Amino acid sequence: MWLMWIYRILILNHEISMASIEPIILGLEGTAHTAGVAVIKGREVIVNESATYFPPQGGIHPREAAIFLAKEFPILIDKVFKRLPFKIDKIDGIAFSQGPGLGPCLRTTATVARAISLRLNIPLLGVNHCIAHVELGRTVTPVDDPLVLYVSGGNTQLITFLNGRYRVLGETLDIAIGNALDTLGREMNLPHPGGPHIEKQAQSGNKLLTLPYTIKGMSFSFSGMVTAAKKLLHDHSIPDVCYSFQEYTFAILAEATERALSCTKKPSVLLTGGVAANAHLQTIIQKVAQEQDTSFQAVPRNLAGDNGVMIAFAGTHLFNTGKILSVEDSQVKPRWRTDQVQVGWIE
Amino acid sequence: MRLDKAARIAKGAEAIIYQGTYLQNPVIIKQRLPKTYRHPEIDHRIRLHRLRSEAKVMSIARKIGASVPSLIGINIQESYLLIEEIDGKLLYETMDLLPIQRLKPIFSSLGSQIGLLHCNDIIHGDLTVFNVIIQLEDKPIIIDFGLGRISNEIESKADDILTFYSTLKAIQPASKILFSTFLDGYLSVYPEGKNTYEQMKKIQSRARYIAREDRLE
Repeated sequence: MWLMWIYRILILNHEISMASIEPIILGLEGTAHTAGVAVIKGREVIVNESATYFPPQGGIHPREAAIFLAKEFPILIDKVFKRLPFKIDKIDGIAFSQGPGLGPCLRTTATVARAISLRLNIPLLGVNHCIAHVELGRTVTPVDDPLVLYVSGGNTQLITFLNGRYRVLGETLDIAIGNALDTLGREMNLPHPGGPHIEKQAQSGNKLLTLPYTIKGMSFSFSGMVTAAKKLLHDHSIPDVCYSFQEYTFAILAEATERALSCTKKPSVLLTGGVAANAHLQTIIQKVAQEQDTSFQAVPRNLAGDNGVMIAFAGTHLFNTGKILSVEDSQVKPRWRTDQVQVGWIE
Repeated sequence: MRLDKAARIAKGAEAIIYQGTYLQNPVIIKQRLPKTYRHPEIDHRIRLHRLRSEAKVMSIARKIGASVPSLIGINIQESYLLIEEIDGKLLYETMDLLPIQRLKPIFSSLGSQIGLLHCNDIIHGDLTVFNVIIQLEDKPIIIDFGLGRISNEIESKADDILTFYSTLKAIQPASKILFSTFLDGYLSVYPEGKNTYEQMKKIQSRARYIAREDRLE
Protein backbone atom coordinates (compact mmCIF):
# COMPACT_ATOMS: atom_id res chain seq x y z
CA MET A 1 0.00 0.00 0.00
CA TRP A 2 2.72 2.49 1.01
CA LEU A 3 4.85 1.51 -1.92
CA MET A 4 1.87 2.12 -4.13
CA TRP A 5 1.53 5.66 -2.75
CA ILE A 6 5.21 6.42 -3.18
CA TYR A 7 5.00 5.13 -6.71
CA ARG A 8 1.98 7.34 -7.39
CA ILE A 9 3.71 10.42 -5.97
CA LEU A 10 6.76 9.71 -8.10
CA ILE A 11 4.63 9.40 -11.20
CA LEU A 12 2.77 12.57 -10.30
CA ASN A 13 6.03 14.46 -9.73
CA HIS A 14 7.31 13.17 -12.99
CA GLU A 15 4.23 14.43 -14.77
CA ILE A 16 4.53 17.83 -13.11
CA SER A 17 8.17 18.17 -14.07
CA MET A 18 7.35 17.05 -17.61
CA ALA A 19 4.68 19.71 -17.72
CA SER A 20 7.12 22.40 -16.65
CA ILE A 21 9.55 21.42 -19.41
CA GLU A 22 7.00 21.12 -22.16
CA PRO A 23 3.89 23.10 -21.35
CA ILE A 24 0.91 23.05 -23.69
CA ILE A 25 0.18 26.61 -24.80
CA LEU A 26 -2.67 28.09 -26.79
CA GLY A 27 -1.52 31.04 -28.89
CA LEU A 28 -3.86 33.77 -30.13
CA GLU A 29 -2.57 36.23 -32.73
CA GLY A 30 -4.59 39.28 -33.70
CA THR A 31 -2.64 42.50 -34.13
CA ALA A 32 -3.76 43.49 -37.61
CA HIS A 33 -5.39 41.54 -40.43
CA THR A 34 -4.68 37.94 -39.35
CA ALA A 35 -6.56 35.91 -36.76
CA GLY A 36 -4.32 33.02 -35.73
CA VAL A 37 -5.07 30.24 -33.27
CA ALA A 38 -2.57 27.49 -32.49
CA VAL A 39 -1.79 24.93 -29.83
CA ILE A 40 1.80 23.82 -29.26
CA LYS A 41 3.65 21.57 -26.86
CA GLY A 42 7.32 22.41 -26.39
CA ARG A 43 8.62 22.73 -29.94
CA GLU A 44 5.85 20.68 -31.47
CA VAL A 45 2.95 22.33 -33.30
CA ILE A 46 -0.24 20.39 -32.53
CA VAL A 47 -2.83 22.50 -34.37
CA ASN A 48 -2.44 25.73 -36.32
CA GLU A 49 -5.34 27.61 -37.89
CA SER A 50 -5.60 31.12 -39.24
CA ALA A 51 -7.76 33.44 -41.30
CA THR A 52 -6.61 36.60 -43.02
CA TYR A 53 -8.66 39.66 -43.89
CA PHE A 54 -8.35 40.94 -47.43
CA PRO A 55 -9.90 44.38 -47.85
CA PRO A 56 -12.10 44.63 -50.96
CA GLN A 57 -10.26 47.86 -51.81
CA GLY A 58 -7.59 50.06 -50.27
CA GLY A 59 -5.59 49.10 -47.21
CA ILE A 60 -6.54 47.67 -43.84
CA HIS A 61 -9.15 49.69 -41.96
CA PRO A 62 -8.60 49.01 -38.23
CA ARG A 63 -12.32 48.74 -37.45
CA GLU A 64 -13.08 46.49 -40.40
CA ALA A 65 -10.15 44.25 -39.45
CA ALA A 66 -11.36 44.08 -35.83
CA ILE A 67 -14.87 43.10 -36.95
CA PHE A 68 -13.29 40.39 -39.11
CA LEU A 69 -11.28 39.07 -36.13
CA ALA A 70 -14.36 39.05 -33.90
CA LYS A 71 -16.19 36.97 -36.52
CA GLU A 72 -13.30 34.56 -37.19
CA PHE A 73 -11.95 33.82 -33.69
CA PRO A 74 -14.97 31.72 -32.51
CA ILE A 75 -14.88 29.65 -35.72
CA LEU A 76 -11.10 29.09 -35.51
CA ILE A 77 -11.12 28.28 -31.80
CA ASP A 78 -13.95 25.81 -32.28
CA LYS A 79 -11.97 24.14 -35.12
CA VAL A 80 -8.78 23.98 -33.06
CA PHE A 81 -10.43 22.64 -29.91
CA LYS A 82 -12.20 19.90 -31.93
CA ARG A 83 -8.92 18.78 -33.46
CA LEU A 84 -6.99 18.59 -30.19
CA PRO A 85 -5.84 15.03 -29.39
CA PHE A 86 -6.43 15.72 -25.66
CA LYS A 87 -8.94 17.53 -23.44
CA ILE A 88 -9.01 21.33 -23.40
CA ASP A 89 -8.12 21.46 -19.67
CA LYS A 90 -4.66 20.03 -20.48
CA ILE A 91 -3.74 23.48 -21.81
CA ASP A 92 -1.32 25.20 -19.40
CA GLY A 93 -1.47 28.77 -20.62
CA ILE A 94 -3.28 31.16 -22.99
CA ALA A 95 -0.80 33.38 -24.83
CA PHE A 96 -2.14 36.34 -26.78
CA SER A 97 -0.63 39.20 -28.76
CA GLN A 98 -0.86 42.08 -26.28
CA GLY A 99 0.86 44.53 -28.64
CA PRO A 100 2.07 46.32 -30.66
CA GLY A 101 -0.61 46.66 -33.31
CA LEU A 102 -3.91 48.22 -34.26
CA GLY A 103 -5.89 49.11 -31.12
CA PRO A 104 -9.30 47.70 -32.14
CA CYS A 105 -7.72 44.41 -33.29
CA LEU A 106 -5.65 44.06 -30.11
CA ARG A 107 -8.71 44.68 -27.93
CA THR A 108 -10.71 42.04 -29.78
CA THR A 109 -7.96 39.46 -29.38
CA ALA A 110 -7.43 40.31 -25.71
CA THR A 111 -11.16 39.91 -25.06
CA VAL A 112 -11.11 36.44 -26.61
CA ALA A 113 -8.05 35.48 -24.55
CA ARG A 114 -9.53 36.76 -21.29
CA ALA A 115 -12.82 34.94 -21.92
CA ILE A 116 -11.09 31.58 -22.48
CA SER A 117 -8.75 32.16 -19.54
CA LEU A 118 -11.62 32.93 -17.12
CA ARG A 119 -13.90 30.21 -18.44
CA LEU A 120 -11.29 27.44 -18.24
CA ASN A 121 -9.31 28.94 -15.35
CA ILE A 122 -6.02 28.85 -17.30
CA PRO A 123 -3.39 31.60 -16.79
CA LEU A 124 -2.95 34.42 -19.32
CA LEU A 125 0.39 35.24 -20.99
CA GLY A 126 0.87 38.64 -22.67
CA VAL A 127 3.19 38.32 -25.68
CA ASN A 128 4.99 41.08 -27.59
CA HIS A 129 4.23 40.47 -31.26
CA CYS A 130 7.69 41.50 -32.55
CA ILE A 131 9.48 39.29 -30.06
CA ALA A 132 7.17 36.42 -31.03
CA HIS A 133 8.52 36.65 -34.60
CA VAL A 134 12.07 36.39 -33.21
CA GLU A 135 11.24 33.52 -30.84
CA LEU A 136 9.59 31.63 -33.69
CA GLY A 137 12.87 31.78 -35.59
CA ARG A 138 14.85 30.68 -32.54
CA THR A 139 12.51 27.71 -32.10
CA VAL A 140 12.07 26.38 -35.62
CA THR A 141 15.51 27.15 -37.08
CA PRO A 142 18.91 26.19 -35.61
CA VAL A 143 19.99 29.78 -34.86
CA ASP A 144 21.07 30.88 -31.42
CA ASP A 145 21.81 34.49 -30.51
CA PRO A 146 21.20 35.85 -34.02
CA LEU A 147 21.05 39.32 -35.51
CA VAL A 148 17.41 39.48 -36.59
CA LEU A 149 16.08 41.30 -39.62
CA TYR A 150 12.35 41.48 -38.93
CA VAL A 151 10.44 42.61 -42.00
CA SER A 152 6.65 42.77 -42.18
CA GLY A 153 3.70 44.91 -43.11
CA GLY A 154 3.80 46.81 -39.84
CA ASN A 155 7.42 46.63 -38.72
CA THR A 156 10.96 46.70 -40.06
CA GLN A 157 13.62 46.34 -37.39
CA LEU A 158 17.13 45.08 -36.83
CA ILE A 159 16.95 43.32 -33.48
CA THR A 160 19.56 41.62 -31.37
CA PHE A 161 19.92 40.40 -27.81
CA LEU A 162 22.15 42.62 -25.62
CA ASN A 163 22.17 43.25 -21.83
CA GLY A 164 19.00 41.30 -20.96
CA ARG A 165 16.77 42.68 -23.68
CA TYR A 166 16.11 42.52 -27.38
CA ARG A 167 17.57 45.80 -28.62
CA VAL A 168 16.57 47.60 -31.77
CA LEU A 169 19.78 48.60 -33.57
CA GLY A 170 18.08 50.09 -36.57
CA GLU A 171 14.54 50.46 -37.83
CA THR A 172 12.37 52.26 -40.29
CA LEU A 173 11.98 55.94 -39.53
CA ASP A 174 8.54 56.04 -41.14
CA ILE A 175 6.72 53.13 -42.81
CA ALA A 176 7.54 49.41 -42.80
CA ILE A 177 8.88 47.68 -45.93
CA GLY A 178 5.69 45.58 -46.24
CA ASN A 179 3.59 48.69 -45.94
CA ALA A 180 5.72 50.36 -48.65
CA LEU A 181 5.23 47.37 -50.97
CA ASP A 182 1.46 47.32 -50.29
CA THR A 183 1.12 51.04 -50.94
CA LEU A 184 3.03 50.82 -54.20
CA GLY A 185 0.99 47.74 -55.13
CA ARG A 186 -2.27 49.65 -54.67
CA GLU A 187 -0.96 52.40 -56.91
CA MET A 188 -0.58 49.78 -59.68
CA ASN A 189 -3.98 48.25 -58.92
CA LEU A 190 -2.43 45.04 -57.65
CA PRO A 191 -4.48 43.18 -54.99
CA HIS A 192 -3.69 43.44 -51.26
CA PRO A 193 -1.16 42.45 -49.91
CA GLY A 194 1.02 43.92 -52.65
CA GLY A 195 4.33 42.28 -51.66
CA PRO A 196 3.91 38.88 -53.35
CA HIS A 197 2.45 40.51 -56.50
CA ILE A 198 5.35 42.96 -56.71
CA GLU A 199 7.78 40.06 -56.29
CA LYS A 200 6.12 38.30 -59.24
CA GLN A 201 6.00 41.41 -61.44
CA ALA A 202 9.66 42.16 -60.65
CA GLN A 203 10.73 38.84 -62.18
CA SER A 204 9.83 40.10 -65.64
CA GLY A 205 11.42 43.52 -65.13
CA ASN A 206 15.02 44.12 -66.17
CA LYS A 207 15.59 47.84 -66.50
CA LEU A 208 16.98 49.49 -63.38
CA LEU A 209 15.38 52.89 -62.90
CA THR A 210 16.87 55.46 -60.56
CA LEU A 211 15.37 55.78 -57.09
CA PRO A 212 16.65 57.50 -53.96
CA TYR A 213 18.78 55.43 -51.61
CA THR A 214 17.88 56.42 -48.06
CA ILE A 215 19.98 54.93 -45.29
CA LYS A 216 20.82 56.63 -42.02
CA GLY A 217 23.39 54.56 -40.18
CA MET A 218 21.50 51.36 -39.42
CA SER A 219 18.09 52.97 -39.89
CA PHE A 220 16.22 53.61 -43.10
CA SER A 221 13.08 55.22 -44.47
CA PHE A 222 10.82 54.06 -47.28
CA SER A 223 8.00 56.56 -47.68
CA GLY A 224 10.04 58.88 -49.92
CA MET A 225 11.01 55.91 -52.07
CA VAL A 226 7.34 55.00 -52.55
CA THR A 227 6.60 58.55 -53.71
CA ALA A 228 9.54 58.42 -56.15
CA ALA A 229 8.44 55.01 -57.47
CA LYS A 230 4.88 56.27 -57.98
CA LYS A 231 6.25 59.06 -60.18
CA LEU A 232 8.17 56.53 -62.29
CA LEU A 233 4.88 54.77 -63.11
CA HIS A 234 3.94 57.60 -65.50
CA ASP A 235 6.70 56.72 -67.98
CA HIS A 236 7.76 53.16 -67.19
CA SER A 237 6.30 49.67 -67.16
CA ILE A 238 4.99 48.05 -63.97
CA PRO A 239 7.56 45.19 -64.03
CA ASP A 240 10.47 47.64 -64.33
CA VAL A 241 9.19 49.79 -61.45
CA CYS A 242 8.64 46.70 -59.28
CA TYR A 243 12.10 45.38 -60.16
CA SER A 244 13.81 48.66 -59.36
CA PHE A 245 11.85 49.21 -56.17
CA GLN A 246 12.81 45.77 -54.87
CA GLU A 247 16.46 46.17 -55.89
CA TYR A 248 16.77 49.51 -54.12
CA THR A 249 14.82 48.81 -50.93
CA PHE A 250 16.38 45.36 -50.44
CA ALA A 251 19.86 46.79 -51.02
CA ILE A 252 19.18 49.25 -48.20
CA LEU A 253 17.98 46.48 -45.87
CA ALA A 254 21.05 44.44 -46.81
CA GLU A 255 23.45 47.27 -46.14
CA ALA A 256 21.89 48.06 -42.73
CA THR A 257 22.06 44.35 -41.86
CA GLU A 258 25.69 44.14 -42.86
CA ARG A 259 26.53 47.22 -40.82
CA ALA A 260 24.76 45.81 -37.75
CA LEU A 261 26.54 42.48 -38.20
CA SER A 262 29.89 44.15 -38.48
CA CYS A 263 29.21 46.16 -35.30
CA THR A 264 27.79 43.39 -33.11
CA LYS A 265 29.81 40.41 -34.50
CA LYS A 266 26.81 38.10 -34.02
CA PRO A 267 27.32 34.53 -35.29
CA SER A 268 24.16 34.31 -37.41
CA VAL A 269 21.45 36.23 -39.25
CA LEU A 270 17.77 35.41 -38.95
CA LEU A 271 15.21 36.71 -41.44
CA THR A 272 11.67 36.74 -40.06
CA GLY A 273 8.26 38.39 -40.57
CA GLY A 274 5.83 38.35 -43.49
CA VAL A 275 8.25 39.83 -46.06
CA ALA A 276 10.76 37.06 -45.16
CA ALA A 277 8.71 34.91 -47.56
CA ASN A 278 10.16 36.96 -50.45
CA ALA A 279 12.67 34.65 -52.18
CA HIS A 280 14.68 37.52 -53.64
CA LEU A 281 15.14 39.15 -50.21
CA GLN A 282 16.21 35.78 -48.81
CA THR A 283 18.93 35.41 -51.46
CA ILE A 284 20.18 38.94 -50.81
CA ILE A 285 20.38 38.60 -47.02
CA GLN A 286 22.05 35.22 -47.44
CA LYS A 287 24.78 36.92 -49.49
CA VAL A 288 25.18 39.51 -46.71
CA ALA A 289 25.68 36.71 -44.20
CA GLN A 290 28.33 35.17 -46.46
CA GLU A 291 30.05 38.51 -46.81
CA GLN A 292 30.42 38.74 -43.01
CA ASP A 293 31.21 35.00 -42.54
CA THR A 294 28.07 34.23 -40.55
CA SER A 295 25.33 31.65 -40.97
CA PHE A 296 21.91 32.48 -42.38
CA GLN A 297 18.42 31.23 -41.57
CA ALA A 298 14.97 32.33 -42.66
CA VAL A 299 11.73 31.23 -41.04
CA PRO A 300 9.74 28.75 -43.17
CA ARG A 301 7.40 30.36 -45.67
CA ASN A 302 4.21 29.06 -44.03
CA LEU A 303 5.18 30.62 -40.68
CA ALA A 304 6.62 33.88 -42.04
CA GLY A 305 3.38 35.87 -41.78
CA ASP A 306 1.48 36.44 -38.54
CA ASN A 307 0.31 33.21 -36.88
CA GLY A 308 -0.73 31.73 -33.55
CA VAL A 309 2.28 29.39 -33.39
CA MET A 310 4.78 32.19 -32.81
CA ILE A 311 2.64 33.68 -30.04
CA ALA A 312 2.46 30.25 -28.39
CA PHE A 313 6.25 29.72 -28.65
CA ALA A 314 6.94 33.11 -27.04
CA GLY A 315 4.20 32.37 -24.50
CA THR A 316 6.00 29.15 -23.55
CA HIS A 317 9.03 31.20 -22.44
CA LEU A 318 6.80 33.51 -20.38
CA PHE A 319 5.11 30.49 -18.80
CA ASN A 320 8.41 28.81 -17.97
CA THR A 321 9.75 31.97 -16.33
CA GLY A 322 6.55 32.52 -14.35
CA LYS A 323 5.45 35.69 -16.18
CA ILE A 324 1.74 35.12 -15.69
CA LEU A 325 -0.53 38.08 -16.49
CA SER A 326 -3.58 38.76 -14.33
CA VAL A 327 -6.77 39.73 -16.16
CA GLU A 328 -6.66 43.11 -14.37
CA ASP A 329 -3.25 43.87 -15.92
CA SER A 330 -4.07 42.56 -19.36
CA GLN A 331 -4.88 45.85 -21.10
CA VAL A 332 -3.47 45.99 -24.62
CA LYS A 333 -0.30 47.91 -25.53
CA PRO A 334 -0.65 49.29 -29.08
CA ARG A 335 2.77 51.00 -28.88
CA TRP A 336 4.70 48.32 -27.03
CA ARG A 337 8.32 48.51 -28.15
CA THR A 338 10.58 45.52 -28.60
CA ASP A 339 13.19 46.90 -26.18
CA GLN A 340 10.66 47.44 -23.38
CA VAL A 341 10.30 43.71 -22.72
CA GLN A 342 12.40 42.25 -19.92
CA VAL A 343 13.69 39.00 -21.40
CA GLY A 344 14.16 36.52 -18.56
CA TRP A 345 14.51 33.36 -20.63
CA ILE A 346 17.89 33.97 -22.29
CA GLU A 347 21.14 33.71 -20.34
CA MET B 1 51.31 56.57 -55.12
CA ARG B 2 53.62 53.97 -53.70
CA LEU B 3 52.24 51.68 -51.01
CA ASP B 4 54.29 49.32 -48.92
CA LYS B 5 53.60 46.35 -46.69
CA ALA B 6 49.82 46.49 -46.92
CA ALA B 7 48.42 44.03 -44.37
CA ARG B 8 44.73 43.47 -43.96
CA ILE B 9 43.72 44.36 -40.40
CA ALA B 10 39.96 44.61 -40.40
CA LYS B 11 36.85 44.09 -42.42
CA GLY B 12 34.09 46.57 -41.83
CA ALA B 13 30.62 46.55 -43.28
CA GLU B 14 31.59 48.67 -46.24
CA ALA B 15 35.29 48.44 -46.69
CA ILE B 16 38.38 46.43 -46.02
CA ILE B 17 41.02 48.16 -43.92
CA TYR B 18 44.71 47.58 -44.61
CA GLN B 19 47.68 48.85 -42.69
CA GLY B 20 50.68 50.01 -44.68
CA THR B 21 53.31 52.64 -45.04
CA TYR B 22 53.40 55.56 -47.42
CA LEU B 23 56.54 57.70 -47.60
CA GLN B 24 57.75 56.02 -44.39
CA ASN B 25 54.60 57.00 -42.53
CA PRO B 26 52.13 54.47 -41.15
CA VAL B 27 48.82 54.74 -43.02
CA ILE B 28 45.43 53.10 -43.22
CA ILE B 29 44.10 52.04 -46.60
CA LYS B 30 40.33 51.92 -46.76
CA GLN B 31 39.15 50.09 -49.83
CA ARG B 32 35.51 49.73 -50.82
CA LEU B 33 34.97 46.46 -52.65
CA PRO B 34 31.89 45.61 -54.75
CA LYS B 35 29.04 43.97 -52.87
CA THR B 36 27.56 40.89 -54.49
CA TYR B 37 24.18 41.42 -52.84
CA ARG B 38 23.55 44.73 -54.58
CA HIS B 39 22.60 45.33 -58.18
CA PRO B 40 25.91 46.19 -59.94
CA GLU B 41 24.61 49.57 -61.09
CA ILE B 42 23.43 50.55 -57.61
CA ASP B 43 26.67 49.23 -56.19
CA HIS B 44 28.82 51.23 -58.55
CA ARG B 45 26.82 54.40 -58.01
CA ILE B 46 26.99 54.12 -54.22
CA ARG B 47 30.65 53.18 -53.94
CA LEU B 48 31.83 55.97 -56.19
CA HIS B 49 29.59 58.48 -54.48
CA ARG B 50 30.73 57.50 -50.99
CA LEU B 51 34.41 57.40 -51.88
CA ARG B 52 34.23 60.93 -53.19
CA SER B 53 32.05 62.35 -50.44
CA GLU B 54 34.14 60.72 -47.72
CA ALA B 55 37.28 62.34 -49.12
CA LYS B 56 35.59 65.70 -49.50
CA VAL B 57 33.89 65.75 -46.10
CA MET B 58 36.99 64.53 -44.28
CA SER B 59 39.23 67.17 -45.73
CA ILE B 60 36.76 69.97 -44.99
CA ALA B 61 36.34 68.70 -41.42
CA ARG B 62 40.08 68.68 -41.04
CA LYS B 63 40.31 72.24 -42.37
CA ILE B 64 37.92 73.61 -39.76
CA GLY B 65 39.94 71.92 -37.00
CA ALA B 66 37.65 69.08 -36.04
CA SER B 67 39.34 66.00 -34.61
CA VAL B 68 39.24 63.67 -37.60
CA PRO B 69 42.11 61.75 -39.19
CA SER B 70 43.85 63.52 -42.04
CA LEU B 71 43.32 62.34 -45.58
CA ILE B 72 46.52 61.54 -47.46
CA GLY B 73 45.26 60.37 -50.82
CA ILE B 74 42.46 58.95 -52.94
CA ASN B 75 42.43 56.41 -55.76
CA ILE B 76 39.19 56.42 -57.72
CA GLN B 77 40.02 53.47 -60.04
CA GLU B 78 40.74 51.08 -57.22
CA SER B 79 38.32 52.87 -54.89
CA TYR B 80 40.46 53.39 -51.85
CA LEU B 81 41.45 56.18 -49.50
CA LEU B 82 44.78 56.66 -47.75
CA ILE B 83 44.20 57.91 -44.24
CA GLU B 84 46.42 58.80 -41.31
CA GLU B 85 46.62 55.94 -38.81
CA ILE B 86 44.96 56.59 -35.44
CA ASP B 87 45.96 54.66 -32.32
CA GLY B 88 43.26 53.94 -29.81
CA LYS B 89 40.13 51.95 -29.07
CA LEU B 90 36.62 52.30 -30.43
CA LEU B 91 34.32 54.24 -28.13
CA TYR B 92 32.07 51.16 -28.17
CA GLU B 93 34.86 49.08 -26.64
CA THR B 94 35.90 51.66 -24.06
CA MET B 95 32.33 52.03 -22.85
CA ASP B 96 32.54 48.61 -21.24
CA LEU B 97 35.89 49.36 -19.62
CA LEU B 98 35.47 52.86 -18.19
CA PRO B 99 33.21 54.05 -15.35
CA ILE B 100 30.50 56.61 -16.09
CA GLN B 101 32.49 59.38 -14.41
CA ARG B 102 35.31 58.94 -16.92
CA LEU B 103 32.93 58.49 -19.86
CA LYS B 104 31.17 61.79 -19.19
CA PRO B 105 34.06 64.09 -20.25
CA ILE B 106 34.54 61.93 -23.36
CA PHE B 107 30.89 62.36 -24.33
CA SER B 108 30.99 66.05 -23.59
CA SER B 109 34.04 66.59 -25.78
CA LEU B 110 32.54 64.37 -28.51
CA GLY B 111 29.41 66.53 -28.32
CA SER B 112 31.44 69.70 -28.85
CA GLN B 113 33.24 68.10 -31.80
CA ILE B 114 29.90 67.26 -33.42
CA GLY B 115 28.73 70.78 -32.62
CA LEU B 116 31.76 72.10 -34.48
CA LEU B 117 30.97 69.90 -37.50
CA HIS B 118 27.30 70.93 -37.58
CA CYS B 119 28.19 74.58 -37.09
CA ASN B 120 30.09 74.24 -40.39
CA ASP B 121 27.25 72.31 -42.07
CA ILE B 122 29.16 69.02 -42.05
CA ILE B 123 26.90 65.98 -41.62
CA HIS B 124 28.47 62.71 -40.50
CA GLY B 125 25.64 60.43 -41.66
CA ASP B 126 26.44 57.42 -39.48
CA LEU B 127 27.22 58.87 -36.10
CA THR B 128 27.46 55.97 -33.64
CA VAL B 129 29.79 54.83 -30.86
CA PHE B 130 31.27 52.44 -33.43
CA ASN B 131 32.63 55.36 -35.44
CA VAL B 132 34.55 57.17 -32.73
CA ILE B 133 38.08 56.24 -31.67
CA ILE B 134 39.27 57.20 -28.20
CA GLN B 135 42.94 58.13 -28.20
CA LEU B 136 45.28 58.46 -25.27
CA GLU B 137 44.11 61.06 -22.73
CA ASP B 138 40.51 60.30 -23.68
CA LYS B 139 40.47 62.39 -26.84
CA PRO B 140 37.70 61.35 -29.25
CA ILE B 141 38.49 61.15 -32.98
CA ILE B 142 35.56 60.86 -35.38
CA ILE B 143 36.03 58.41 -38.24
CA ASP B 144 34.14 56.90 -41.19
CA PHE B 145 32.60 59.74 -43.17
CA GLY B 146 31.30 57.40 -45.89
CA LEU B 147 27.72 58.61 -45.43
CA GLY B 148 28.82 62.18 -44.81
CA ARG B 149 27.82 65.25 -46.77
CA ILE B 150 27.66 69.01 -46.64
CA SER B 151 24.21 70.32 -45.83
CA ASN B 152 22.67 73.16 -43.87
CA GLU B 153 19.33 71.36 -43.37
CA ILE B 154 18.23 71.00 -39.77
CA GLU B 155 16.72 67.63 -40.69
CA SER B 156 20.11 66.17 -41.64
CA LYS B 157 21.77 67.44 -38.48
CA ALA B 158 18.90 66.10 -36.40
CA ASP B 159 19.30 62.72 -38.10
CA ASP B 160 22.92 62.61 -36.94
CA ILE B 161 21.97 63.24 -33.32
CA LEU B 162 19.06 60.80 -33.46
CA THR B 163 21.22 58.01 -34.93
CA PHE B 164 23.73 58.60 -32.15
CA TYR B 165 21.03 58.50 -29.47
CA SER B 166 19.32 55.37 -30.85
CA THR B 167 22.48 53.26 -30.99
CA LEU B 168 23.60 54.53 -27.60
CA LYS B 169 20.23 53.60 -26.13
CA ALA B 170 20.48 50.13 -27.62
CA ILE B 171 23.80 49.27 -26.02
CA GLN B 172 24.31 51.35 -22.90
CA PRO B 173 22.02 51.29 -19.84
CA ALA B 174 23.13 54.77 -18.71
CA SER B 175 22.37 56.22 -22.12
CA LYS B 176 20.21 59.12 -20.92
CA ILE B 177 22.92 60.63 -18.67
CA LEU B 178 25.61 60.20 -21.32
CA PHE B 179 23.40 61.63 -24.03
CA SER B 180 22.59 64.73 -21.99
CA THR B 181 26.31 65.25 -21.36
CA PHE B 182 26.87 64.87 -25.09
CA LEU B 183 24.12 67.39 -25.75
CA ASP B 184 25.60 69.92 -23.29
CA GLY B 185 28.90 69.72 -25.16
CA TYR B 186 27.08 70.03 -28.49
CA LEU B 187 25.14 73.14 -27.44
CA SER B 188 28.19 74.81 -25.89
CA VAL B 189 29.85 75.03 -29.31
CA TYR B 190 26.73 75.28 -31.43
CA PRO B 191 23.96 77.23 -29.62
CA GLU B 192 21.68 76.95 -32.66
CA GLY B 193 21.76 73.22 -31.98
CA LYS B 194 18.64 73.79 -29.88
CA ASN B 195 16.68 73.66 -33.13
CA THR B 196 18.47 70.47 -34.15
CA TYR B 197 17.38 68.86 -30.92
CA GLU B 198 13.77 69.99 -31.38
CA GLN B 199 13.80 68.57 -34.91
CA MET B 200 15.26 65.31 -33.61
CA LYS B 201 12.28 64.91 -31.28
CA LYS B 202 9.96 65.53 -34.24
CA ILE B 203 11.68 62.84 -36.34
CA GLN B 204 11.50 60.46 -33.42
CA SER B 205 7.77 60.99 -33.05
CA ARG B 206 7.28 60.02 -36.71
CA ALA B 207 8.64 56.54 -36.02
CA ARG B 208 6.51 53.65 -34.91
CA TYR B 209 5.59 52.80 -31.34
CA ILE B 210 7.31 55.48 -29.33
CA ALA B 211 6.21 54.89 -25.78
CA ARG B 212 5.51 57.99 -23.72
CA GLU B 213 8.27 57.33 -21.19
CA ASP B 214 10.76 57.00 -24.05
CA ARG B 215 10.06 60.42 -25.51
CA LEU B 216 12.77 62.92 -24.76
CA GLU B 217 11.68 66.07 -22.95
